[in-house]
Amino acid sequence: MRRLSCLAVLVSLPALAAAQERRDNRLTERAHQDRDIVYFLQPPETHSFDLYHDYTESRTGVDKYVNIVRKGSRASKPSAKILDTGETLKTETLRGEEITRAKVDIGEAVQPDSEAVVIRFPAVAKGHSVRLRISETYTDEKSYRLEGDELVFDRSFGRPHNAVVLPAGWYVTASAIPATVSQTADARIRLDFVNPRPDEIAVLIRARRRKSP
Amino acid sequence: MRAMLLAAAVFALGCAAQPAPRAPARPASAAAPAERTSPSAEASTKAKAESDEYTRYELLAPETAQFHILYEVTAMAPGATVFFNPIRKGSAASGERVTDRMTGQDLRFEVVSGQEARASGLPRADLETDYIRIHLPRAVPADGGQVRLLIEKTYKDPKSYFREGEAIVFSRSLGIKRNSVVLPPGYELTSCNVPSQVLSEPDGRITIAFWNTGPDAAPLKLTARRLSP
Repeated sequence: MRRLSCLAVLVSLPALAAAQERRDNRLTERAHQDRDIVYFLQPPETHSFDLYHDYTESRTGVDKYVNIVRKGSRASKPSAKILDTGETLKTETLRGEEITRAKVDIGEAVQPDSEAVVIRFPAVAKGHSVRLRISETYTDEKSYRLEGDELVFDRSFGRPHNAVVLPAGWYVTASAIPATVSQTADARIRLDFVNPRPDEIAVLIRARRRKSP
Repeated sequence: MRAMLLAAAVFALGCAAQPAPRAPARPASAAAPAERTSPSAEASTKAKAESDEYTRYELLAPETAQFHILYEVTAMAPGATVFFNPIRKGSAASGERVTDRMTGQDLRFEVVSGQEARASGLPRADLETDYIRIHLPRAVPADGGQVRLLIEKTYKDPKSYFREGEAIVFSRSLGIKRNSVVLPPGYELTSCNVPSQVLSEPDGRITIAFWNTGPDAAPLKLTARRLSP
């Protein structure tokens, strides 16, 4: 009986630690977070969308950014630059064992299908910070698809500010999460989502192709 | 006098980064439009002079009616070498400081009239308004580049920050979308009319923080009272 109790404690400790971490993450200042992503949907038949992700690194000594590609998504055409200077950065995409060999911490156990985009930059000096822009193309049949004549974009967002730009020639017919809507300079429809709460939003957008251009 | 001139920058209203004029005699060429690229992802974003604004108000001792402001803003106009921050007259500010957030370096700035702002890179400057003209440490890079600034000042405004009986009140219309207010040490939050996170600073002070998702300014009013020793 005592052995069973010990086992229960051993099992529950990591769970408790994870729960504690989640609680702590929720108690960070959401309004001061400045990570945001803009998604540019490609024709839905491709299941692909370009995106760029802006991120500020201010932790002294940090010299790389690791972007973990979500399960079910494939990343291609990664590129990165320092927005403060315009300098282009080298990127590398690592998969499975390559991640382990490169000793890159992805914050979870490395699986054969794990994928990470690694961007290296000069280590942040004390009192300095660096603003990065990471651009990629994602392909994800589940998140982005055609259903009959309608385009469906169904993806959860964890960052406070995200935007989705529809493909040229498409108009929005539904958005489950409140968004502001605007037109880009090239007349594409853009939806901006601001989530002031420290949780995820399950974005669901539907759109149709205009009959006339 | 300088403090008066620097008083009350209207953070919510149109700060602007502009390319420096190539020749003072031709100010019209100073306000070159944002550079356009091919129809790529970045070209689809709106051209903006500034972005990513965030303000933190640190309330000082209530009897002073003062609060320290830390205002983060990003200059976005490609090629800009100066950044203009409009000034609202009427209150006293002190302790102004502008920092490059990339390096922590202090930046040079001065107060200029609307007319001078027009002549030095802000062609649509209001002639009735004074501006803080900040010299950027490098030109804003093209294609989405940024220069990130931190503008600090201490502000005295008895209309925004005052006592009401045993309570202290911070009541202010906030046009910036991302804000936080830090209570003085030893105070508890008793009311807040804008849905906000409530957080604790490492030194125990209480912070309220919110992201205004609407198009209008947030008419923030919060009250606090001193905790028993």
